[in-house]
Amino acid sequence: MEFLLLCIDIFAVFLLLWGIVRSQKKDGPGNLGLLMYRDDVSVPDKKKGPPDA
Amino acid sequence: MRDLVILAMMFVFVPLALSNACAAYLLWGWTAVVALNLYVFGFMREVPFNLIFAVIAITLIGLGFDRKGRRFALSRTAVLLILFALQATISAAFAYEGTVRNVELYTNLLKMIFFCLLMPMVITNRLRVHALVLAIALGMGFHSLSEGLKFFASGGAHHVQGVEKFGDNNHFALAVTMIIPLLLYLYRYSQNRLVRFASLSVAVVTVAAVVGTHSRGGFMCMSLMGAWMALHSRRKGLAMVGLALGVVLTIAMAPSSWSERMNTIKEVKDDTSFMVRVVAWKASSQMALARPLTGGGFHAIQNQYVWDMYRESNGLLGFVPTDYRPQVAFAAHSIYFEVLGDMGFVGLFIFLAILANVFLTRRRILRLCSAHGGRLKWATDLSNMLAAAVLAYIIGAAALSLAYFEVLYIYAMLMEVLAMQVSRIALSPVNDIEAQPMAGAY
Repeated sequence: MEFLLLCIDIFAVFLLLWGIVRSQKKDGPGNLGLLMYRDDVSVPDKKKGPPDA
Repeated sequence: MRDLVILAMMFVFVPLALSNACAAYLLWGWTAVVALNLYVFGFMREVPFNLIFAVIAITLIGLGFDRKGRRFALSRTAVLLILFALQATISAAFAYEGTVRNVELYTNLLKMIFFCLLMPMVITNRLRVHALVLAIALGMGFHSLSEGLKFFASGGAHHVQGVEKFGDNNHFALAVTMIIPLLLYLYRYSQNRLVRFASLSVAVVTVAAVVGTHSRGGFMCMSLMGAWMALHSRRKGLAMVGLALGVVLTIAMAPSSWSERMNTIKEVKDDTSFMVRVVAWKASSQMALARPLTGGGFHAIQNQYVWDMYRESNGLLGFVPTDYRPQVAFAAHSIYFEVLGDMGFVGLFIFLAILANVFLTRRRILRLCSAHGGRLKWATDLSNMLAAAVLAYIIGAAALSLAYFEVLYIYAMLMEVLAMQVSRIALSPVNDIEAQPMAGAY
């Protein structure tokens, strides 16, 4: 099981590096897979309204 | 078979590292925490993976091959780390003779400080911050996932002993506890559903791994870290209820051997293992009093003749009675006394400054983020998560010899890098793509 986990971990690192290399492409980053992050996850503030409003 | 897989990995990773400085830097960080050599048993066991990627990264960064890199900037954290490295050099040079791990620990610390000093030059935007967090989570999460799954698979019977790289079960418990906040950050901010699911799952399994270590300190610092995170979350009530539920569930479902071990927390005065630690603290502080400027060198107290010299002394803890004085050399068993003994009062002062600086930098980030509005909530959350992990370290490692643990220094510098990026974003126009290159790309 440990070996299988290690292989999965290595594959995930590969995807991460692939995303980093793609992010520097001149024609735009495109889909970066594992590296895709969300913009701010906000809890609506009842007093002030949505933070980005 | 394992060796062949790792060899194949190197055939892919080395060209990737050579093609991109950031990729090489991430691989340097990942190999520093995953300790690949412990999982191969053949011809790849002696391959210095960490050194290979470190050399590639340093060369590419030094030659300016990183298009999105920045020039070296002397921040407060960088100054403290440089001072710590200088003090470590003095201590290592004037170490007691026969201190076996002096050179090993010194070079490891120096390598990690160098890694941290390069961080602001490579981790220059949010995408790269996210990538570094992922790389560290993949490196550390592997250990906790592996041990946690064994604990689940055995129905709680597996006693997690830890990994050779970190030390015993107590060290392992603290080391993996420090990764939980980053996993929760990844769960919250990753867009890929698989990453979110994996991050949350690994966080849960990591909790099980900590329970499996039967470490009292580990469970205590994990609970306190959880409380701190709940207090600083945006849904405080829900977080506190979740935390309370988690603690109750852990206690209810943990094996009886674990409960028996936890019950001994109340019997500190009768606990031999704790009282032996006090003797080690006394000896370490006495060594610092004898050599206040240099200390005794890395883990000098574990040197038998140094131990014999100081074990009967009370040092700074004369007010704590200890009847039993072990004959055999004992580790310092506290990051504070460890640094005090190893590097003297000067070293301890710098070390404490590094720890305090993490929270000062966090305060700077929060101030900048609140002034900038809701657009930088990710930075607020990441700084809170990093601070939670360092808080766990400050509490949990008070009774462990883990002062030179790589992840602490990585977190300290990551907090500084975050502050630098937040300052740049806060001072630039809202749509400045250069200041926050990848934001808004998705």
